[in-house]
Amino acid sequence: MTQVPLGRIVRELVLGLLAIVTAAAVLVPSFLVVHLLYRSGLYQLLIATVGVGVLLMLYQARMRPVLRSAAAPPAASIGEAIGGEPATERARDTAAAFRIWGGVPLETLRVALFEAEPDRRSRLTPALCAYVRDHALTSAALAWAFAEVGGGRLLLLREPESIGQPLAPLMGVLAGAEERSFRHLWSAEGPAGYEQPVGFATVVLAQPLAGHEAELHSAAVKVGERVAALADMAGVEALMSQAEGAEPPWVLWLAAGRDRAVRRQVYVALEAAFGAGGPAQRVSRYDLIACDALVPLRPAGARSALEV
Amino acid sequence: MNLGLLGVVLIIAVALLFDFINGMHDAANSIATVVGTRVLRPFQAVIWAAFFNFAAVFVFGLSVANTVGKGVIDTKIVDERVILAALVGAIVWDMLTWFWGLPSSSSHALVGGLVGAAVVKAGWGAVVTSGLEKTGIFIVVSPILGFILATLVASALRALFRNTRPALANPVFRRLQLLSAAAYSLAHGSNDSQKTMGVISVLLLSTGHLGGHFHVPLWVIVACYTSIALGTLAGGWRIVRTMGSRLTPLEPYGGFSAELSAATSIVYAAQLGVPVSTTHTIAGAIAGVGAARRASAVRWRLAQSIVWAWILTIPAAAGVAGLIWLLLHLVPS
Repeated sequence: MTQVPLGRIVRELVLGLLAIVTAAAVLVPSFLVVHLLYRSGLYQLLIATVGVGVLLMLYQARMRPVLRSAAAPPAASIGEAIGGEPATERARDTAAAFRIWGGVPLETLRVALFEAEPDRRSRLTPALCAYVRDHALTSAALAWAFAEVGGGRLLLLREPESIGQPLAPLMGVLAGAEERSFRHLWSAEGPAGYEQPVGFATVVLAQPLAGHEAELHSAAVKVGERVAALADMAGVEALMSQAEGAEPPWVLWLAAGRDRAVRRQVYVALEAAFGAGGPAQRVSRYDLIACDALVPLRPAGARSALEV
Repeated sequence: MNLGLLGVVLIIAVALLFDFINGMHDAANSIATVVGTRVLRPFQAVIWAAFFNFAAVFVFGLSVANTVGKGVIDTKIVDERVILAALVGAIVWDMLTWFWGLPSSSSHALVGGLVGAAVVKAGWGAVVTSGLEKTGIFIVVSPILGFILATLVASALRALFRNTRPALANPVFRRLQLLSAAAYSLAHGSNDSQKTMGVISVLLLSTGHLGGHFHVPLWVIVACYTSIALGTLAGGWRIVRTMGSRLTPLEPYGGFSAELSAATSIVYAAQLGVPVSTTHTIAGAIAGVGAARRASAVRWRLAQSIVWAWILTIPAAAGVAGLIWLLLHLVPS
């Protein structure tokens, strides 16, 4: 059993109490106001509630552009967290583009598949990596670039809800892109913390034969369970896209590990699950591109590699 | 129609079945966020929610039961046929909306069912206008209140923890979600069980099994809480089409904010004796958490279908119950 340091327990307790006090500080006065309104009349309560709801919505949608900015970088200490250093003035404390997600399941992932014109192929990977690197500096959300194994396509995997930068600049570099959203189906318990770097990650995109959706889902979960049991795996997820018309939905299978040595065992397991004769009609595998090594960090004030 | 003791027992069984289905159907709301954020495994979460659904028996009063029992329709016109029509009407409407994928409220379906059967039997005079008015207003107030409170709580927490590392903040909120999920399950048990208690009690009153005045017997309280807890237990993972992830992706702080805001809104309404939709309230709260991040994080199309469910449930369940009352009327006594 892992020993948790006393300092961490105390920090968590303080933060927990702080969260409860904050919630109470919001809820108690709110209910006092609600009760006053209720006592003054049901219709007053109705009008006030609807009015405040609409105003709040308008404020969030129209009058708060900061909500569309990048996610705040993490604090280095609890003192800094509570002290509230302006988030925008400090870069992330890790430059790694690839951090393991922090124990939160990936509810939705947006997948973009890119294919470059033959003469621009050499620029595609660095451009995509530059996007990923820039994104990693400003956001805690996942954005990883993958290259197709035995093919020429690139895949960008990202959490759509917390995008710091729009994908539009990248589109200028690319010949064509196909985007699809995937929703969480299953995941293995990942120990995971954002600080841990990823040694490797692999994605399998598989489309079931018509009527074999459940079978493919089951195969994805089974191989996920098998892979999650391997040493040094960080997380395994299975996601599914929305069915479009008569076309069966796609399954996205994602695994990340800390140690590259375990990759071979993952690939062997995948071959057995998604290989020929299985429930999938189309299968493609993508491996994480080492963008940290490929694209150096952009110096402050320099133009982004996306601005081509 | 006078079915005697056997008939009363059968109708009580239908009412408890309604409560069971309610628990099973709403298990998703109680455990979606704790499972979605990996705080508990699905089976652990179901047991957690079922336990606190039942524990509500020791915590809350019976204001909602009193409202449903005597604050929606005149108790004098109530008989077995009215109660049976109301229950079957509510169940049929719940099943239809389940089939159509509309997030319907079984509380409102039951209120609609009572109104429909009473109006067909005795005209509009049988409706307690003040009770219906209060319920109708809270159909709108309760989800919006959940939305507002969750937006405020989530915004406050985001501001406070904006620079805290996710690796530190997430475990804290994952543990806090155990508390908020328990609070939500208590609130759910309290609100949703009580409406069935009200229906059973008014049935007992109308058939002379309750003495001269309306009250909720202890065995009815225990039976209803047990039934909803068993329903939640039976809900399991299969039925969890997570309301959380359908409306907006949730992080642990979001789950905590949504559950706490929804729970307090439901408990507040329960103290006032107003039956509210727990589904709509948690949906409003989850949308509020999404909106606190940014408005476009919420799937407004689903929110739109919830609004349709607000509008349609009471009249539609009333219509179905009215028809069923007419059919039962054809059955000879």
